[in-house]
Amino acid sequence: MALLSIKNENVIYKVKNKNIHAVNNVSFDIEPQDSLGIVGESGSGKSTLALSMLRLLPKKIAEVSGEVIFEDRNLLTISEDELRDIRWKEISVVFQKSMNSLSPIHKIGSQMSDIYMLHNKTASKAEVKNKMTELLELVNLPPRVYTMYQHELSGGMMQRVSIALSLMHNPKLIIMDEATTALDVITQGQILNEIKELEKRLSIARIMITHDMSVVANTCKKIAVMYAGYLVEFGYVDDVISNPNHPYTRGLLKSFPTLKGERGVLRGISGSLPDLSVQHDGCIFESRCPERSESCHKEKPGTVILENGRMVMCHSAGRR
Amino acid sequence: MGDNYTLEVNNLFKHYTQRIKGNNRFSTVKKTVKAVDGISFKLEAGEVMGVIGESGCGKSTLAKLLTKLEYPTQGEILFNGESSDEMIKKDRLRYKRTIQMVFQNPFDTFDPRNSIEKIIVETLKMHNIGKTHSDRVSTAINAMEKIGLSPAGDYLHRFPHELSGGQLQRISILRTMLLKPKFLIADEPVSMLDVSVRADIIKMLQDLVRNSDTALIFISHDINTTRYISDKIVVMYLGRIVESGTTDYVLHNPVHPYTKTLISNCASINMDEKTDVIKIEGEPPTPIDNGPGCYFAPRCYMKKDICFKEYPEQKVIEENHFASCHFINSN
Repeated sequence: MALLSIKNENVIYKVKNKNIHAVNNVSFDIEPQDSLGIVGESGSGKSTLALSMLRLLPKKIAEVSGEVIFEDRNLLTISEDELRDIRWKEISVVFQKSMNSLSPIHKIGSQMSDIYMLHNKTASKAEVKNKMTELLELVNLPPRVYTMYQHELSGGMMQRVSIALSLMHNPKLIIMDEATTALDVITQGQILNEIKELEKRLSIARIMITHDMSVVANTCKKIAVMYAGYLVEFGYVDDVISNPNHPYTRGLLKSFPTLKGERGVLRGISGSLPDLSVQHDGCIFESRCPERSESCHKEKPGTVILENGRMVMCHSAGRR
Repeated sequence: MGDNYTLEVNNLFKHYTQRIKGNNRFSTVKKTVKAVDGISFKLEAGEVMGVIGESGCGKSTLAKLLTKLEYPTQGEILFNGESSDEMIKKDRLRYKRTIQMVFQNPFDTFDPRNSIEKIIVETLKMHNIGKTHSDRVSTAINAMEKIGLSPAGDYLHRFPHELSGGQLQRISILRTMLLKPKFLIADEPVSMLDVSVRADIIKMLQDLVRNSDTALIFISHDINTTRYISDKIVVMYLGRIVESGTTDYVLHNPVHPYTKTLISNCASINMDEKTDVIKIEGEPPTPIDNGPGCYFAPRCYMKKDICFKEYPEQKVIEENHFASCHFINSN
């Protein structure tokens, strides 16, 4: 049974008499211990999707519809109290700018214990301290970090603290929103390896939001490509990367430089995201698509389901 | 100025002094942070040099030294044999026209209260390019059309926050290129941008540099991107150059353990090739009191006793390929 299944989710932002359709009809499943990478340009709705799952978007502006089923509970309809139990304990999030989410005037140790005490009110001080040292060890940080301040740590170390925080209550699902984007190559490599190992050890499922295809290629089992709020391609990483079916996925892969092989011309995807506040009759990618045809302009493509759980939203999918 | 306009950097040092709490409660001890620690290289007109390394290895300090945003502790920067100190004393603007810089975050580069028109025209006016205001505006429009911001008239009256990161970075590059610099330094110009835009910016930089015979120093920690744009590559670690040479030579036959580590950690989207990742511990330390030995020794996977005793000399591996490590057999 799927750990988390999203069914026809829509997110609409209501701003100044405009309705911005940030996420459109997205559905997919995540199995226990799965790892899913969501890729796409900025503004394609990756983060909105992740935040809407945990109802972290401002209620006045964002309108979320559809179903997000996590272990038989619909996260979009349960009460605030029930949700609070799920957040952090069962689903936790790591954000990109971890340096901004740590308090500059408290020691790392006391910040971490605070959060722990919030969910386990009866824990004794010694027990908490033990648990925290254990957590720091888990992410390869020296125990002295416990008594340090946020500004004494480097970017990589702060990101590790954030990951340690998210693992605090042994969650079943962890969402990493551009968690390694701001780090440099070696630190990113180190952290990704640690995450992979932790996952095996603690059996966690993971959603990884990034615009770096290589991170997904190296660490995830499945990939979801999003464009302008639509899920345009979904499938196993091996299948999608070796044989991309949607023109947008192909474009993304082409714009990624490689270390080996010919130094050909790098090709970006020309144009930019369409205005999401107006309704589009045809395919959302039509204006930038190099392979567009008549039907793309008139008709919205349906989601074609191919072998191996692969889903593609394109008129020409599966025809070749 | 002939075709052989060259930039020569000789033994450049930049040390910062830092006060650290001493043993006594009231005493402070002065420590030197060696941000750039003896760098020499040469760059010819039209060449593209990539500088790679982890954060904190002195890449950006090097860029600041070259543009004279910081002054070196020791060493000299020569443009065609002319000292940069002399140049800047004689004619500040000419120096600025010789070497220009593109910064990482295009949103921080511009004054948010100035329109794009003002941003570009002001620069031209300051450097006495063009005679009248309308002259300068038309120069700006022409240049903008060329790099794909068309119709340019639409953009002129917008403010920086009304443009996307990619568009702003284009304008940032355009503004520097209008001054026809001999050298351009790009400090992580694409790391803030989206993947789909990155390729276009790289291509634009490449075209501009080729057409105007400008030498480019491309600073980045993304090895893949650097490989696409640069002719030669310099690997830095804690303020020193550990390996340098022609891009493909260095990236395909790295000899220094640090370069090897960097390359092996570089993620690839090719699923077939599985390389063994060389793992190293920790992050680069702050360059205070780095010992007499090789700076990389504490993190190196090949370290031996000799590494902690003396700094390895630079050795020639092939033509135009240098590295500093004890375990290289030079030819």
